[in-house]
Amino acid sequence: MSSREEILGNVRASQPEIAELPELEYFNQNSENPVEKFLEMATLAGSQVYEINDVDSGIEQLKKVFPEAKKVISSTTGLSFGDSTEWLNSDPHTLADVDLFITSALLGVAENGAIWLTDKVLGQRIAPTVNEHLAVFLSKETIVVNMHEAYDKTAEMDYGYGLFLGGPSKTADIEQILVLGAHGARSMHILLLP
Amino acid sequence: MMTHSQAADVFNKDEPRVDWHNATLWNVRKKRDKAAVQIPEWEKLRAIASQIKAHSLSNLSSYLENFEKKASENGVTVHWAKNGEEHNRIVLEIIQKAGLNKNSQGKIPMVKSKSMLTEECHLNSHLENNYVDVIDTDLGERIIQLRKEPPSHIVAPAIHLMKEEVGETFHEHLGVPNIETIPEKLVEIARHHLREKFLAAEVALTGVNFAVAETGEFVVCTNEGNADMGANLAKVHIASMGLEKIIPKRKHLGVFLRLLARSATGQPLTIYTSHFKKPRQGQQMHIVIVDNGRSRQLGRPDFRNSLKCIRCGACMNTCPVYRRSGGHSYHSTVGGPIGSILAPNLDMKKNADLPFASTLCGSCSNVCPVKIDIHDQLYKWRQELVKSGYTPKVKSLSMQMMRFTLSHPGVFNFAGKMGKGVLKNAPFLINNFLNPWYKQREMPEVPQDSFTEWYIKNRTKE
Ligand code: SF4
Repeated sequence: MSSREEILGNVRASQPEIAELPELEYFNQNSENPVEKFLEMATLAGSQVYEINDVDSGIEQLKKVFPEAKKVISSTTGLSFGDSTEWLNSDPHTLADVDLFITSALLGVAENGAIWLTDKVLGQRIAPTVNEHLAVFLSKETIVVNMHEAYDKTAEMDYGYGLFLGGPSKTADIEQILVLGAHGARSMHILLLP
Repeated sequence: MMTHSQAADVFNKDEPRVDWHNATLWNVRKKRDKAAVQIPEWEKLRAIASQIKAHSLSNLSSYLENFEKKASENGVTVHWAKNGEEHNRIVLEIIQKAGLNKNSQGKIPMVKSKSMLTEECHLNSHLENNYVDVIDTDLGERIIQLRKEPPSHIVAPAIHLMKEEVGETFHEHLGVPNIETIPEKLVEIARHHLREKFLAAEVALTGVNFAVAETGEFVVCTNEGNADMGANLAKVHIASMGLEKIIPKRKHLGVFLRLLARSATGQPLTIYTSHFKKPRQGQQMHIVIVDNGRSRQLGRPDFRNSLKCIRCGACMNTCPVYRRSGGHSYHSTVGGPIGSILAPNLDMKKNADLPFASTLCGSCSNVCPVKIDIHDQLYKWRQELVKSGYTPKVKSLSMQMMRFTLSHPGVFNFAGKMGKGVLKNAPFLINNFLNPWYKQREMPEVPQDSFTEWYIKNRTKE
């Protein structure tokens, strides 16, 4: 008998009588203004959030924050900042010296300030992690109250890799003291479009 | 091997350190409280999470088959391992068959993100013996790997160490000229050191927090992003999962993720909550589903609830005994209250002392996000161990535990503060523990044991 058969057999023999699966709720009534909440939670998690009117003013903002960025790449086409084509087919290891990666998130979550990204929008899976700094366009309209709504809204999306990203990479492994920039992006800039 | 109580005695020799450890863990617990009260539906969520897990466990064989089917359709190879040994053999085979490049020492470079399961299986030493260079990449795990220590906490593996010790470790092993003690600098050193390892790795191994039967995807949660750095660069991604990690549907992730980070560290969500569904182009993705005693635990009605655990660590942070005895005193991969339920299932004889490393104050059960009846299970294990013939050892252990509790007022004060029956049921103890027993640090033999029995009986009535 294969290990698979043996394990499944043992599980079958051990598992109790079927227990009922509970109904889920959305818990999204009486919630605060989701955009305000998102701003608050994202800032708490260490992200910088800018409310902007259009993509161009977002790019102006980024150029101000990163005047010396040398290698800038983006998975959002049509931006006047950084390469948005060549890098897509390069070996992921070559992205280790990227100063700034610009992308667009599909959804924001008010209760935790996280954004939802997939390999489809990222171009390369490693892109939001291997770079030094990360900038993300997010439309206010896509902000949902909580994770229940977030899973509902992303249910039909096709992806091989999906990520709720809650801010810059961080660690508290040394004496529980919070430090930003563990392995992934040192800073995360959210450009909030109307 | 030292019993928990003997190891705790050693740990307790350094009183300032014990106080520091206690306060550090208690701070984490306070953060959890602050996060939990901000969610009005918190208690409802805990109940739902517990029910989803109960359901998943009751239909586990079908869900496992479904998960395997979906994952295979997604292009992921699924393997099954009865025990740790088979798991290690499978992982090595995957690595050896993939035709990977070796480094200058003739070893295949591999990066690993946090996985308590691989600790449980002792994977690292198996791979090291077979020309695989294993680098743990969670900062806490890397620190203890360099120091050749086991993790002392499932969420924060190096929580027992002070920054000076980390500085010394980096000085000794990473060639840092001085002994650095500023956390920001230490993290920066680790970032550069590990970046090199990520970029050189041929294979990445991650754990699994949740595996979704409906879609075949699995979710890995980290704050540092080390799982993503590893898996998204390497040619081969291996994910090791205990078979209890299955949940039925993708939408159920919402429930567990809202609870997990808040219970663990007080954050609303881990920074990287990553969903791996299909390998990227040209990459191999493997999942190893491990039993290693879990199906046996599933068959024990008294203890099957322990398989609901989502490894948040809250029961450890809150446990007065854990905080004052340290994670290493549990001589088991998962320590603290939940570890003390899981360990006897793996080896009853070796771990017979662990269910006694508790005051049964119930704080663990109160904070557990999936509502595991932890302290009841600890009590049931005690009975089970007695029945199975561990009586003599157990009796002396229970006395040792009482001595530990009563000679450490912090442990006992806590139980009092919880207002959970101690004051109500044991006024004579509260009146007395500060004088004859405490000063003497010894307990008269006979009353001690009868008190244990009496205390347990009264506690469990609630
Ligand atoms: S038993 Fe509960 S509290 Fe303890 S680690 Fe598991 S889920 Fe968390």
